[in-house]
Amino acid sequence: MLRALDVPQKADVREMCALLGVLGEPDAPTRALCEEAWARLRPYAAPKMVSAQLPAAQLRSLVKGNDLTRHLAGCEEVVLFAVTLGAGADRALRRAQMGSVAMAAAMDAAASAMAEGCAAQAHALLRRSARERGLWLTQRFSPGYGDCPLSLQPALLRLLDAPRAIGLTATKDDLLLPRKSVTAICGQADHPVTGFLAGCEHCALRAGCRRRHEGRPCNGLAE
Amino acid sequence: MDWLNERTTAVMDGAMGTMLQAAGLAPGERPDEWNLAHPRRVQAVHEAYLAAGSRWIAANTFGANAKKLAGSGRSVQEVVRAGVACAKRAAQGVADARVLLDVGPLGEMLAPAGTLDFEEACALFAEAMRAGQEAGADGVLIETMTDLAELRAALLAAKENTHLPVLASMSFEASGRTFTGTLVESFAMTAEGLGADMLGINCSLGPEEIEPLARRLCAATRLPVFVKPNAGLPDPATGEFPLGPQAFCDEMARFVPMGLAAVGGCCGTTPQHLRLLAQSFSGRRARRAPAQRKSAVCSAMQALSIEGVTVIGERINPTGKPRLKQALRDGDVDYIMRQALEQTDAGAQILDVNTGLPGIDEAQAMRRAVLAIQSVTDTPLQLDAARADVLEAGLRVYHGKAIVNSVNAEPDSLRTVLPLCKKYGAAVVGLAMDASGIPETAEERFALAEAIVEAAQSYGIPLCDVFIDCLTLTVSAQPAQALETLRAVTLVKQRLGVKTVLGVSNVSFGLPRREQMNAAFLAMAIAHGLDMPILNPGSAAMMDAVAACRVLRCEDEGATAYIARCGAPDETPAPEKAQTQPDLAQAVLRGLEQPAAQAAKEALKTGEPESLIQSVLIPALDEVGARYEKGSIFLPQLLRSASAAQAAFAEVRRAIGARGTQAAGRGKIVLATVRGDVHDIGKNIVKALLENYGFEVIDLGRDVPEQDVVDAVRRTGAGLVGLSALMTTTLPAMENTIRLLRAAAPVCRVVVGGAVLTPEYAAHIGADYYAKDAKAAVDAAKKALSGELAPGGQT
Repeated sequence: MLRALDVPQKADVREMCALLGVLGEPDAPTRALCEEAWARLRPYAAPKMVSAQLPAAQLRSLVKGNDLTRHLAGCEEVVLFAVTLGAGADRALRRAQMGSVAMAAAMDAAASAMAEGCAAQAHALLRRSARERGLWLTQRFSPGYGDCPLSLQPALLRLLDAPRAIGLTATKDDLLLPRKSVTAICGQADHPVTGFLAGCEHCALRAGCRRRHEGRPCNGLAE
Repeated sequence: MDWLNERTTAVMDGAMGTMLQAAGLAPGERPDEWNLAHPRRVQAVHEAYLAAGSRWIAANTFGANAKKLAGSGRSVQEVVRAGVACAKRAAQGVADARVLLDVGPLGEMLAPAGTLDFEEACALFAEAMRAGQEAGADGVLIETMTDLAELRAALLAAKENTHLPVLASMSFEASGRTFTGTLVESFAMTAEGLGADMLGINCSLGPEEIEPLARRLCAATRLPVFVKPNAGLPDPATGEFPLGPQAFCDEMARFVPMGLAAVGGCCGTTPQHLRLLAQSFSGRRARRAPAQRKSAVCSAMQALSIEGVTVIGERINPTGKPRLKQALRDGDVDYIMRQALEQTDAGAQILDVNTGLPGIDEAQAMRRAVLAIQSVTDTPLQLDAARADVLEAGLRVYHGKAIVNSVNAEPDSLRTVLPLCKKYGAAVVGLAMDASGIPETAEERFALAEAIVEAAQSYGIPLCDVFIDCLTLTVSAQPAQALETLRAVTLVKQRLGVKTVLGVSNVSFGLPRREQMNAAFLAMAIAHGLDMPILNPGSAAMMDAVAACRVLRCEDEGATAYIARCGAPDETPAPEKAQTQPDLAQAVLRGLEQPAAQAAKEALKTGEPESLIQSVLIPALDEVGARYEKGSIFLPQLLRSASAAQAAFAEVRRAIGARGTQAAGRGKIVLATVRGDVHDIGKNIVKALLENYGFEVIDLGRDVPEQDVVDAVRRTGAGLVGLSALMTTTLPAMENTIRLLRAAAPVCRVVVGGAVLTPEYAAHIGADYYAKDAKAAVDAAKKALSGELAPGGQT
């Protein structure tokens, strides 16, 4: 699959506040800041997705760590996908750094929230496509979660032909560029599968993670 | 380029990757490796295309660069050698067959979007180019590029390392821009300027979508043009290409009247597609009217035709600007970027960039300035320097077509600067003067201008790329010269047919109401034929004059821009709202930017800037910080207060600047996001907070090599370094930076921060302080630099 995605007009204030570390309901000025940041960034976001389907055996040879292996258990195929907001969004964020620091931080959060939203959109589209063929997809699992290392990124991008398809690359330190991008791996089977919930033990962000502290770990997955 | 035939359209080849997949290439396997593993199968693909009628074939070397081959165990040389050999074997005995070294993207983004350095990119391409020439390729095909910076690196690598003809092609979206926003016209101007022999469009789109873009390309360049479309747009669900051989061929018929130099196919095409294509293009090639030569410059994302009054912003020039001088000395590009954005917002269409300051590495400063400015604005640039090495440093990394300011009629100047302009495809400003100075009469200036134009043309620089500056003298010192300059402008315009440039501000030096004089001179100059005034776009009087002149010259249809600039007629300022404005402390606490700036302005009328900082701003920020620590407010409120304080601080700085003396700083801090990492929002938040507290921050930016941090500390005498890294993979760079710092600047302290850091890791790598968030970073700074409050005080 290769297609453009949409950024909703309505700001995802909840996700933005979570990213900015706001607890509870945001006050009115914070809400206004988030909505304004979303509106300013939206014209520069040009989200795209690309996906590929492979036999699971082919991916297994690349997989390091247990969490991803468990995630794909029972699945004959894997569906990989990548989304990006594009280089224009990165550029808009760079420009925003020149102005108010509050707006710059809010726009950065908006971009991350948009990328997450696009990943969810892509996942939903792929799920629907799988159901149409009588198949089920697991939740999505991204490199960097659990004990799945970032070093998987270059291989994923190559399998997706992502640089040519959607202009998505990785640096030699495995950082995705454009920055506001997500890669993910889903298992596909002919029976309902959910995938494995990655634990906190190996997560790089465990030390300062508020969610873990509050007893609501993300498990490396999103709905 | 002697393979080109005016009477026929050459036939290139089609997709290689899918053909190899059909022959057994596994998904994710590198096609280029088959040159060594399965050379016969590669050769068979070439033979199939040649048999179908292709004559310009691309060797299977699209990914043959050190980046893409990393981990394969294969060297670039051996892959290229084998790939070119496969193609040459296939082409043996085929008349008119040419083998092209196929060069695709490196697969990594160049700075500033990414971390790949421009020169490193050039070197990576150079390796493949040299190998290709050695292996006997007939030419180079640079294709599927989406980043103009990367295309430039490849083109320069080809021109600097081989004598081969170069075909350059980019991939666009239907909008006419690439993924990174590069315009068709910017591609044309820049690639032609760098010496490409042919320009093309390939991949991403089918024939129908490429047609309008190909028309634009043909209109934007005098070079031969080729296209290699995909077999239509892939099905969004299945990824399959819809156009079979006959359908593809029918779609390609639209290119016949364009008189293209060559056609081929990209993804989804097969030898069958090419067979039919070759047949339908076997007739006589249509004539293509040569594109008109026009004066134009560009950045990657903006192409600017110079028609009518075109404003060049003059503010990025250290002469008479202490803040800019300091920024240049500190290597602080933020200030320069803000100046660039402000001038663009005020209406500058081109930005002059001058980093000439004794005591600094000017070439390095020019390079950094160009990289920084083009990362935030699309406004084309004019590089302003006397020295050729400084100009070259800037031209090398400017991703577009720049203007070089300047040459003069002196042979040395022409000899050292014009070749640079030619090599980098820049336009050039010629000053109508020589070693004897500025001639007194318009006729003499005209003569010098003529000499400059002739010299430029002798280097292959066309008339449309030469802009003549007849030089403005001070009217109070030389009263007759203002008119003489104007006469010279008219002579040059009418008799040489070139665009004219003029800095206007000099005219009023020493007189009162300078803006008034400048605006009058500007209007007169425009009437005498001035095209490109160099002025301060922040001056309302000057921009008002420009707006009026545009209406008078019929460049502003319906005077819409002029009217918009004036605002609605009869607009009376709204009556002041009854509610009282908050005082400064309240404005900061509540995060109200405009009121904070207002309140600061008011307070500064009666109070000292330092006391405002110490007794109002800092206590307010401390209060905000305390609320944040307690958890009664969160990051957005903290930042809004920081923004309000920033706005107040801008007023304080203005007051200090007006006073003429330096503020007593609280100490210098160097900030950087470490090498390989480009996350900087956290660092920028820390920077804003630190500045609010009165610290002087030298921000080195992102992806900062270890040595640059050390150099900055040595250069500025900073007592604290703040390092940020947001990925586990970039933490080693942080550790290295600290190690180098300890050796080179042991007195300097280090604070580290970033989501993946822990207090334990921070201690492990030898940091003095660990900051879990921005507020903690400020606390660390206060502790580390507490001894530096008063100059000469105890440490």
